[in-house]
Amino acid sequence: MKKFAKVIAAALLAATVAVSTAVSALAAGINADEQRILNVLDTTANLNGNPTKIPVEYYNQAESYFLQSDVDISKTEADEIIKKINDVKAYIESIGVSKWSELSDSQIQKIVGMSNDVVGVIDLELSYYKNAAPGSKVRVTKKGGSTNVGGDDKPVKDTGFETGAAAVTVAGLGALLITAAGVYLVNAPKKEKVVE
Amino acid sequence: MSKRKSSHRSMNGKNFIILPIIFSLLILGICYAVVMPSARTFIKMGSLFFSDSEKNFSNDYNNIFVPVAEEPEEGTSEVSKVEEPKTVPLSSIEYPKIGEQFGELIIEDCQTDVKLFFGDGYVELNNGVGIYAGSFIPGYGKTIMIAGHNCTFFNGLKYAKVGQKVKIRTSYGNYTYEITDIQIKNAKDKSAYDLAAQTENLIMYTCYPFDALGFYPDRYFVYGKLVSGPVIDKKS
Repeated sequence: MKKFAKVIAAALLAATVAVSTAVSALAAGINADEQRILNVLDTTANLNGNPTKIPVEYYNQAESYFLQSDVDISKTEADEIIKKINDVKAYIESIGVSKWSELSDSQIQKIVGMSNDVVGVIDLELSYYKNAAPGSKVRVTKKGGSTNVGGDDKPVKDTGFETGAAAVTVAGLGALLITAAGVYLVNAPKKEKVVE
Repeated sequence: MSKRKSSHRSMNGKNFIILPIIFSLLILGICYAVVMPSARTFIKMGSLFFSDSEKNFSNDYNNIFVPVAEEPEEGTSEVSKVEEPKTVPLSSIEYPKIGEQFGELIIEDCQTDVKLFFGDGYVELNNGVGIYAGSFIPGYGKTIMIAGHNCTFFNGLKYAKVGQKVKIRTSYGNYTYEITDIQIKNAKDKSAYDLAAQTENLIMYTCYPFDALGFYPDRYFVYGKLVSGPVIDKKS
C-alpha cells in the first residue's frame, strides 16, 4: 500500500512538473497578470478635470513586450507594478496640471523616478534625456544592458537622407571646396600691378 | 618700387581675409541649397553631438527568420501543394524583440525584396525595413506600420499602385496583402495611421519626394489589406 502511495505521489509530482513546464512554454502569450497591468495602463488619469490616457503607442509597446516568450510576469510582480502605477497616477493627479507640457523639471524628475520603480520590478530601467530631441527623451532598456525595450519614439520616423550620411556629405562637400579653393589660390599666377 | 610693395600687401589682405570669407559664404550657400530644404537636417546633426542620450552605432542584429514553405500558386501540382494553416497558436510563435529580423517583405511589382525587422531604429532601417514597436506583427489582427528609407530599401514604393500584392514571409507563416490606397501626408498628421485599430491593416511609408536630399516633412504612405495568411490565435 505504501509503495502504491509513493507511486501516486511520484506521478502527481511528475504531472505538476509537466504542467508547470507547459505553462512556462506558453508564456509567449499574455497571461492574466500581464492583462491586469495592461488594463491599468488603459485607465484614464484626471489632469485638472481633463481625463487623459497614455498614448496608444505606449500601451502597444507594453503589449508587445509581454508577448515575448521570455517575459512572464507573476502575480506578485503584477501586484507590485499595479500599485506603483497607481502611485504615479495619484501623484500626477495631485500636481494640478492640465497638460503634460505644464510639468516642471522637478515634477518630471519625480515622475521619472517613480516610473523607474515601476519598470524596476521586472528588471528594466527607464532613462530620461532632458536635452534629447523629442522622440529620443525616454528609453526603457533591460537593467545593466543596452537591450532596447521601448521608448517615446515618434510613430513616423525620418526615412529620408540618413542623418549620418547627411553629416558626412556636408563635411565632405565643405572639405572638398575648401581644398579646391586653397589649391587654386596657391597655384594661381600672381599678377603684380605696376603703377605707372 | 614702394608702390609695388603696397599693392602686394593689399593683395595679401584680400587673399587671407576677403577670399576665405567669400568661400565660406559660398560653401554655406551650397550646403544650404543641397542639404537644407529645411533646417531640421542640421538640427538633427546638432542633436547628434549635443544630445545627452546614449548613442549606439553598432550595425549588428539578431536574425530569427526561418522561412516556411510557400503555398504554391493555383494550377500547380496537387501533390506538391502545401496547405497554409488558417490559424497559428500564439504560444508557437517566437514574438520578435526590438532589433530582430523576423521576416522579409517582397513587392514584386516594385522590385522590392527586403529584410523585415521589428523596430524601426538606426540599425533596422540601415539593414532593411522595420515595424514600429508601437504597432504589431503580421497576423496579430492590428496595425502593422513599416518604415524604410526612400533612398534605399523603400525606394521601390514609388512604383506602388493600388491592387498590387505585398508578400510578407515570417517564420510562422506567409502573408499576402493588397495595396488599397496611396497617400502623401505630413509626418505629423496623425490621421495617416490608427494604432488603436482592431483589424489587421498594413501601412508602409517612406520620405517623399523620393529623389530629395535632406529631411522632408512629407511621407509617402502605402496602405494595404490582408488577403491571406494565418491569423495568430491569441488564446492558444
